[in-house]
Amino acid sequence: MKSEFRRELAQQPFEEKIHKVGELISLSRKVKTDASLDSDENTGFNGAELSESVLARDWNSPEEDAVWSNL
Amino acid sequence: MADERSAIPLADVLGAANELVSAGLIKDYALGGALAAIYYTEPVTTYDADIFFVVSDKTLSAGIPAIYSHLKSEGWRVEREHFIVKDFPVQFLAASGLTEEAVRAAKQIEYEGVPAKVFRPEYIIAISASVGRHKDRARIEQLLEQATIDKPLLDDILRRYNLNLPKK
Repeated sequence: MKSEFRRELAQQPFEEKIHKVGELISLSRKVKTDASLDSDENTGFNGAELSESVLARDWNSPEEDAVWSNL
Repeated sequence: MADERSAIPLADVLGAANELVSAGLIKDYALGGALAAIYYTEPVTTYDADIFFVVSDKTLSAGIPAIYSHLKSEGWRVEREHFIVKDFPVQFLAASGLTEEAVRAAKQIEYEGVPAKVFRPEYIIAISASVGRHKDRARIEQLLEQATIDKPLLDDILRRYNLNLPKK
C-alpha cells in the first residue's frame, strides 16, 4: 500500500514535486530557527548547513507521512 | 514573508545554466543528483542542486573562473564548493566520462517555462552505483521501483563502465 502511494507521488508533475521539497526545506529552516532561538547557544541559522541526513532521518516516520498526506 | 515555493529556485538555476551555454562558457549541461532523480520518483529531501556541465575550455581550470565571474555578475555568491542563489546552494560540476555521457544523453524538459535537460534515470542509477553511498543505494532502489527504466540501456551503461548494482 505504502509503495503504491509512493509510486503515485512519483507520477506528480516535476514542478509540484520540487515545490513540495521546497516546502519541507522551509519547514526545516523554520524548525531549526525556532530551536536556535530557544537555545542557550543562540548561534543563528545557516541554510548552507542543512544536513541531508537530518532531513532524511525521519523520512519513514508517521509524522513524515502526515506531512505528505495532503498531496 | 518569503514564498515557500521559492525555497528551491530551480527555474533561476536552469535559466542561469542556459545563459552560460549561450555565452559560450559551457558547451552543454544537465541537472543531476537528487533533483534529477525527483523528476522520476517521489519527492525526497535535498539541500542543493547539482548541475553537470561539459566544458568549453579544456584547460586545467575548465572555464570555472569565467563561470564564477558570470554568476557573480548575476548576483550569485560563493560559499565553499557551492554557488548560492536565493539562499539555495548549487554545485557546478565539470562532467567527464560517465557524467559527460549522461549530459549528452540527457532528456530535454521544460521547468516553469525554462528549457532544460535532466539526466535519464539509467544514468542516474549508473552514477549512483559508481558513488555507492547509502543515499545512492536508496536512490537506485527508488528509481528501480518508481521510474520506467530502459533495462538494455542500463545494462549497457553498467557493462561499459564496469559497474554493478548493489545487492539487496
